Amino acid sequence: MTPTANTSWIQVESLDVAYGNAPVLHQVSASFPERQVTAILGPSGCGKSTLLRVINRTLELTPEARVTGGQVHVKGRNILHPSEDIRSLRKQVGIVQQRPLAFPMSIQENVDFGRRHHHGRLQRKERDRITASLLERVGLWDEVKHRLDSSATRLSIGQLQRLCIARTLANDPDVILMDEPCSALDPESTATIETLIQELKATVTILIVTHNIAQARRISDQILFLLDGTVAEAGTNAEVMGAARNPRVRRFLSGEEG
Amino acid sequence: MVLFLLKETGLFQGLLPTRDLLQVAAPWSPLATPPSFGLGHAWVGSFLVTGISLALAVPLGIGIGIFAAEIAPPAVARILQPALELLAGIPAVVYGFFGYVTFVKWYADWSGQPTGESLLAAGVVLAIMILPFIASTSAEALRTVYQDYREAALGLGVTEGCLFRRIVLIKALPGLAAAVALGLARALGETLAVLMLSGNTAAMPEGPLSRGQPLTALLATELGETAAGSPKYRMLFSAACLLLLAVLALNMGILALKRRFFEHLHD
Amino acid sequence: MTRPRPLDVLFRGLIWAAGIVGMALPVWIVGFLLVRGAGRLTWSFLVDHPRGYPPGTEGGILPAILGSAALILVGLVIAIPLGVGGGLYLAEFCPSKRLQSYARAAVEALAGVPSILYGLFGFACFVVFLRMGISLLAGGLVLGLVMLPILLITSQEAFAAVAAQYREATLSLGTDRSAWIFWVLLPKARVRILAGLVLAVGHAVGSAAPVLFTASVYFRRGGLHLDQPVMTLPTHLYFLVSEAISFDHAFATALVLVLGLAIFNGAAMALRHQMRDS
Ligand SMILES: Nc1ncnc2c1ncn2[C@@H]1O[C@H](COP(=O)(O)OP(=O)(O)O)[C@@H](O)[C@H]1O
Ligand SMILES: [Mg+2]
Repeated sequence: MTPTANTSWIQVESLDVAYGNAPVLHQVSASFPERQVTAILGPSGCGKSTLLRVINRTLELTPEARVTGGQVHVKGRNILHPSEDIRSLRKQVGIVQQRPLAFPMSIQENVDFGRRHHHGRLQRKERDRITASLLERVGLWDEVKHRLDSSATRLSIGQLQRLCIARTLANDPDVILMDEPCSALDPESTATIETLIQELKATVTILIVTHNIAQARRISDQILFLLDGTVAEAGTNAEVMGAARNPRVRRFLSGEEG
Repeated sequence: MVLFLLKETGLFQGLLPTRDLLQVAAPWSPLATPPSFGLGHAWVGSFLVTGISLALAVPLGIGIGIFAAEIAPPAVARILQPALELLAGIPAVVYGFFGYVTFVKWYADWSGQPTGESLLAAGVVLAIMILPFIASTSAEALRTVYQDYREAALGLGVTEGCLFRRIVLIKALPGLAAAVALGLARALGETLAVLMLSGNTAAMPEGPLSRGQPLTALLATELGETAAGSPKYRMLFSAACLLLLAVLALNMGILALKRRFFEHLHD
Repeated sequence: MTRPRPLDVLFRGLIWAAGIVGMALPVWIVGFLLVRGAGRLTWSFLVDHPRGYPPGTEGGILPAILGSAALILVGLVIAIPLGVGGGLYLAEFCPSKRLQSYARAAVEALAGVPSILYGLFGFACFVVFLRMGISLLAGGLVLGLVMLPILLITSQEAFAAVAAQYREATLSLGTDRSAWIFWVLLPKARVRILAGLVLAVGHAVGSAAPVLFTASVYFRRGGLHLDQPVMTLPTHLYFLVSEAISFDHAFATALVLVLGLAIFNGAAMALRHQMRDS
């Protein structure tokens, strides 16, 4: 289980996933280089969320979902193996889910929920400092600093989305999977998150699902394009944006199909 | 319709309101002169029996609820569901009989007394009777909450215990409270099993192992031998009205809790 | 390997234990009745009259079965029209949403009223006030009232579900309301109403408290008459036990009740499946 230096990335090999008897991903192979941003693009329902959920093993929380073949390696370790420590995997590979959800507790406790579990309880001052800096980084601090102890269920969707990013960051993951993290954000908050992603890149590997082509162009190093559960296009930002071979991908990227 | 029932039952009480209801300490001795209609022993009996049954059925029922909602493998859940339905469908009189030939008999054999009826036996059997209602109501409440939060919480890598304690329990609390209230209402109004198992003795019970006469048992025993319109008759109907009020209040509480539960889910 | 925490393991263990108890209890109860009662449960037990002295020590339980069935039939005569009609009114004709929700809350509360109180009410209203005496009619009416709220709730829900699905499609064709009710609403809601009916009847058959002092006597010769008392299965069982008449017969009677209800519910479930498929 010791990570070796040059296998420090995520490697997906011939992955097959089905919900019940309906296949969703077939033979998906992809590699996500360390400390880079990979944008995952594709029309709705093509399996983007499913792919992310395989990588931190939250897919298995859906009873009818099954991985029917293939392997996923994170830092050289086969994470689909039954002996994998799922909880530490999920700490190491954090996910920001497509549907932002507040836990029934205060804003402060929401941010601290996973961190406290993995890193233990802290002195109040230290905890408040960490919460403040996390909320600052996701651009939520000014909006909620006076009501950290009030219930998080009254936040707006856009605020929740940023709260969920802070909650995942609090776990201090090595990889972050983001599923349409800016879908409910205004341009200003979106810019804050994009800046955050650029900062995080120094230490963290990022996979981001987005429907915003311009955003993918701005922030990603690599692009993976899925169509109907298969890889249609994969490469660097410039390769895919500039010279996609698949005509449907080209139409999608130019905004004629979406 | 509720008003109708209340009025009709209350009509007979309204003819001559009885103050005896408040005489908690007086004995129940309708044949004495002057007759005395203290219902204290019946309320204490009802309270003891209901308390025992809730103490047993609430933890077990909520445990079964958690099991059905989250832990049971699908195949097991498919067995559990009809098993609980079967339990809920067994008539009260059969439960009474069953309790009579098991718990009551065991206690008689063990204590050497000729018969073994006790408030405890009634409470235990009552617990089995309300168990399926508590279990299925709490399973329903827990299932919705689990569905919503399972992935969001476990995705952060916390344990299932943490998910349960810090999120599910809090979110499902109104639903669980409704399950308990439902059990309470059923236990309070249940008659046949209590009548057959409690010993039906009109004296103040000394403890869970003594015989007693919960309110419903008193009603069932005495009504048949009461002249319509007599003071005793009015007394019985006054007691019935109080029981009705208690159960209706519990029902209102259940409705309010359920509404709160679903409102909270959506905010 | 996931390191389970000791407390979590304990918790899981307790929950599994609860689940197993939940599945074992009905097996234990039904098994117990089967083992002790099956030997007594013969064909002649079902079709013979109680005999011996006191009656019930020998013979069978035919009059109790017939009495229970007759009570239910009388009850259904009032519960079906009032229940289905009330459900239809609440779902289709109710003038305001407010009234609907109050009526609904009232009916739900009524469904939660203990059955002994129905018995008291029936005794005061039917037996004494309306001078019906302890009779098949009085008891049947009480059982009708016991079944009414369950039937009303399920039929309202059934109508509402059909309406949500078909109302616009049907009314947009320009049909009038009676056609809508008779050709779409009633036929489509039939299966769910039937399910509610089964639930209500199953509940009423087993309850002794409402008929204890409105309809039933321990023993009676002669046929069924509306103005005469009847024997019923649950009260027969109650008297067998409380008067310590015959425990063998009590086991067999309890078994008849439990198995009868199980078969009744099972048949209804099968019927429902069949109707849904077609
Ligand atoms: N729980 C589920 N059960 C059955 N099918 C599902 C489930 N979740 C997703 N799907 C199907 O899987 C496909 C991929 O879903 P998803 O990965 O969410 O797509 P994307 O995120 O790219 O929009 C879709 O066709 C969707 O309908
Ligand atoms: Mg998605």
